[in-house]
Amino acid sequence: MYIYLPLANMSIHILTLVGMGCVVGFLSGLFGVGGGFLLTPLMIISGIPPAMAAASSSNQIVAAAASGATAHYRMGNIDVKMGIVILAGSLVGGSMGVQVVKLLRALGHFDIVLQGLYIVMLGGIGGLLFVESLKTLRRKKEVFTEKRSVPFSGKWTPLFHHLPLQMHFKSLGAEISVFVPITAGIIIGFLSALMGIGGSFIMVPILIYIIGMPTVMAIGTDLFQVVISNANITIQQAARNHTVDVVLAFSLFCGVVLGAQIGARTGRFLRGEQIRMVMAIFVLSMMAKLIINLLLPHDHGIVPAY
Amino acid sequence: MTVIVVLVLLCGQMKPSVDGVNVPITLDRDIVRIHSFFHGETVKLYGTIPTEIDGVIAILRSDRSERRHDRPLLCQISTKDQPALFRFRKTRYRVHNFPALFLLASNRPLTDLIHENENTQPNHLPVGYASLREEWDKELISGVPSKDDGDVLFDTLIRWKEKQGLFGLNEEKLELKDNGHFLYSFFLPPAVEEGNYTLTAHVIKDHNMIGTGHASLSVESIGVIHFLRNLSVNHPLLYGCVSVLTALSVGVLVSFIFRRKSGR
Repeated sequence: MYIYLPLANMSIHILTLVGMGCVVGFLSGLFGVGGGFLLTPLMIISGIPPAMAAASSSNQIVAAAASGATAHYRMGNIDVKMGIVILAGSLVGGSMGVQVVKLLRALGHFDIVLQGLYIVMLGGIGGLLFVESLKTLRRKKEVFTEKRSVPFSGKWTPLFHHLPLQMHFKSLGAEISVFVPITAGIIIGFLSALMGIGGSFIMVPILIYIIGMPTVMAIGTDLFQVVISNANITIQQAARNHTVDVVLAFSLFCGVVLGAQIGARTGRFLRGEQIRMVMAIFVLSMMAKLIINLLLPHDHGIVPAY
Repeated sequence: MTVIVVLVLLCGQMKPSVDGVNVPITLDRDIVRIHSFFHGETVKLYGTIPTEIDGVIAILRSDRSERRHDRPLLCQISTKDQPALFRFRKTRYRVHNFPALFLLASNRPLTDLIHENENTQPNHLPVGYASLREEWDKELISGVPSKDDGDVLFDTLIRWKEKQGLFGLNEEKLELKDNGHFLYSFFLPPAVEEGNYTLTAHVIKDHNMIGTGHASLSVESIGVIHFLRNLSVNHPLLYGCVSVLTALSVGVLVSFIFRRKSGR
């Protein structure tokens, strides 16, 4: 059965759509990552126009993050004050990103820029995962006796005391400059708008390792800001670029929910390094496909103008 | 089968021809509806041959007067067959009035039906892609134009439309029956745009057009698809808000469902 995408002006098999969501959800459940960085390139590879893929992915992220944020809110894992500070940056970054998307589309460069960014990002993530899992597989015995690395939480925190705009955060139990979370918010908001990602895989490590937030609090706070930041991006993409396909986003979300449940259950039976190796191969394959897309001879570009 | 065809012809819209012999043609429907599970649709053409002829050329195309089809296209020209990665330096045009749909079917190769030199004469037969050359116009946006840009753009646009199934020359596919009827099934792809379309059937004898028949077809979206498209085009901000509210509701709902299941 095919489902018609009203804004993409195309039909796609429902199993392809839900399947894509399922694969990404499965990997998300397995790793605990958001999956936006996997979903957009998968959609591009499946023939969905890149601008439509990125913007609809943002809409799907609102649903996925809202689901997670609700759970974290109930458990008291959200530092609302920190979330609002990050949001101040990510709303600005997201709005700038949408304008850049509009400009790049008008210039006819958006598809190439987006695919280029994904090649760099997937190459980086996939490469790191591959090398790390390969190393772990080689020294298997050591891994089991190895202690989990303790994050150098708060190592950079004293540095922030010298920066302007100091503010007290309950989750940190200390005062830090809002300069860092706002800057991180701007950068991640910008990338979210451009690439259709949630940005948690960048923001959560920043909150944990640089700002020194407890892990659970960092995840909850990040999800809180992702919901509002991506809601802003979705509205702006719809208003300025007409690229949000709600049918596409909803179908993907159904798959993601299903896949995430299967992934979370499967994760218990697999070893960490095996999962990481599978993920690395998957991510690197997507990167290879995007490289092939860019290197193959193409027709002259045509974009319907709105 | 013959009885059905005759009945359809009698009941259908038979319009008088523009010139020459009247060619009674009809389509099995006059409206195609785009719904949530739309995956393209086949529209059947039935017609009656008026006299002894050499062939029939049927063309289903977008109406020239249809405003909804006049959506400009941004096109860029780069060096031919260069990888996408190196396509940054290019000449950019905005193209207007390029037909949204052009599907042609004939019972014999077009070269058999039309004299080769006729396409270059002022009163050439209105068939083939060549007939579209005069219809569209381009507006330079940036870059350095070259004299063959028009041809390159025209060929590129046709290839792009063919990939989507919106353009096609289906020679020798139209069925000419011994009992004086002709049949063809046009496939409207999922990418078909809303609007009015015209079907024209030309009857050819001795390389001359001796008769013409017309029928019209409308493509409209219905239900959720119509609502979403309308909202997205006319109230994009509201559409964005609706998308976000839907996502939020679904997300929160899922969270509650799984909380109950996990007993949290």
